[in-house]
Amino acid sequence: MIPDFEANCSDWRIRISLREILEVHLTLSAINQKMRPNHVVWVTKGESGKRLWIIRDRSILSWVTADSETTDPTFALPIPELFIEQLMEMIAGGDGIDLFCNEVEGTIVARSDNGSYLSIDHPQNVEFNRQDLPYLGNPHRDESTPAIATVGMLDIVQFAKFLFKFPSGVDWPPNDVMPFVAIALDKDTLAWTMDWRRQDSYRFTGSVPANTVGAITATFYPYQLAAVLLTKDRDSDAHIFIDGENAEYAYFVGDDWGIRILLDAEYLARWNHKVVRELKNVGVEVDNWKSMQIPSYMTFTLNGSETCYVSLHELDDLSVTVRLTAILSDDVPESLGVYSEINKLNDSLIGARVSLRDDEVRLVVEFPVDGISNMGAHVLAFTKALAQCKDVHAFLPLFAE
Amino acid sequence: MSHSPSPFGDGFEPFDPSQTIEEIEKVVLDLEPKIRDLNRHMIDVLGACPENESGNWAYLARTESGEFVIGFEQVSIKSGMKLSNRFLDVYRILDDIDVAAPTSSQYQPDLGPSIVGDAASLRFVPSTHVRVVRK
Repeated sequence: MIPDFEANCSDWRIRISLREILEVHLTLSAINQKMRPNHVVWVTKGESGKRLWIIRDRSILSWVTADSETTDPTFALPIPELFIEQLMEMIAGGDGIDLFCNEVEGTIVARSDNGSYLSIDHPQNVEFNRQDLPYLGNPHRDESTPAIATVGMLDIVQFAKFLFKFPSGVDWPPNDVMPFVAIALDKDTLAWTMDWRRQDSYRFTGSVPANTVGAITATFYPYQLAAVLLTKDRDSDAHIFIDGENAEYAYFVGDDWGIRILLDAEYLARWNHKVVRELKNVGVEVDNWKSMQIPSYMTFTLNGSETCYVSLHELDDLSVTVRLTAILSDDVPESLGVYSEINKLNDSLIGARVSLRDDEVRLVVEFPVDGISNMGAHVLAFTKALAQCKDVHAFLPLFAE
Repeated sequence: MSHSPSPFGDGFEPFDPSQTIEEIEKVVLDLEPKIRDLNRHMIDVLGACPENESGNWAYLARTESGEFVIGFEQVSIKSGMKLSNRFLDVYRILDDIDVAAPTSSQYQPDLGPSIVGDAASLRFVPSTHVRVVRK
């Protein structure tokens, strides 16, 4: 039986041009080397009236804009990634294709100008959520100054190519994290460094001219971004925007495209999940965190104690330490009496130390990150020290002068 | 935008734009962007308003004397209780991090929308088209 693709056609329709679907397909291929059967691309319409194609994968989101028509829907339509690839094949030889839904069969239907059809089941159990919005604002905006760089696309491409320059002979374990890039926008320059020293190679640093406003540095996982940048036209400029030193994202924006990349630190990407896992293995569950960024510290409780903290710290020599911290008392001013009591406490502690910082008395167990395989011993030292210090909040303030 | 008839009583009516050109300009260029910003911030903090499809909390209205005002959606008692809990959460967060309102000298303009352009105009989460099978 021949299916009637035009039956039960939705009252909306999306007319897609060859260039538009090509842009989407190239972006998708750059972000995901393999199409994933259960992932979708979103198409919707912004308040400006432009059609928006949105592709997101973990730390990166990329969008492509195109002119919309009055028949465009304002809702977010999920299109399976696999279907985009097939639309590319289908559109060859024509100017465009029409996309609509069969509202009875529950399918998305594509119709080419030469009368061929293709349909796919409408995805289920997918929902456009806030993280799919291209621009998310910045809750920390009032606290720091944004930075903007305008860079020619030829220079952007040079930047992207450098990100892909793997030193020859580099080899690393399958679960190791590849180097992040550190970028700096300042003094009419976009500069970057890729640090391959962990892979027994060198640091590579480069720069291209830019028109900058403000100054900032940031680090992020660069490879998908570089792959997308390399798909873009090279005859115009792009803007790089980072909304202050506490910004979660950097934005790379061209005429009809953009990329939002999550700013994260390489050492946190390497170690955070391992620390969480090792703590869990010894019965300590860290609390959930809200940010998409990998947190530099997390909270947990031990046997109903006050909130404790686990944090990661990178030192100048690239070594990383893990720190378990409990705030024993706050509002304790410096005095000889307080320091004397802290010294007495430290004499009795094993594998832990107490210190006074910013009027807070802190109990700390700190060890090189390679020691997380012995997490049980570190947590035990922390727990014992916490028990020894349980009365600090009561008596230490008494020694303040 | 879904408007409740009169959230503050009889003195308030939803705005009718059949006014002078000057008033329409003021609404389009000045007041509506402010309302959109307000809704964006309220949705960021409170989530979408459960009483209408758009999720907006605020709308533009005017009094009988012609003064423009901001109206807020009426909510059910159940939604009001949820809102109350949400305010409590917000208060706890602000209390924890000791947030003070920024002074004018701290204020940084939001350059993001002008840089990001058309994509930044998608400010609210659109509804998701779902699969419908009618047999």
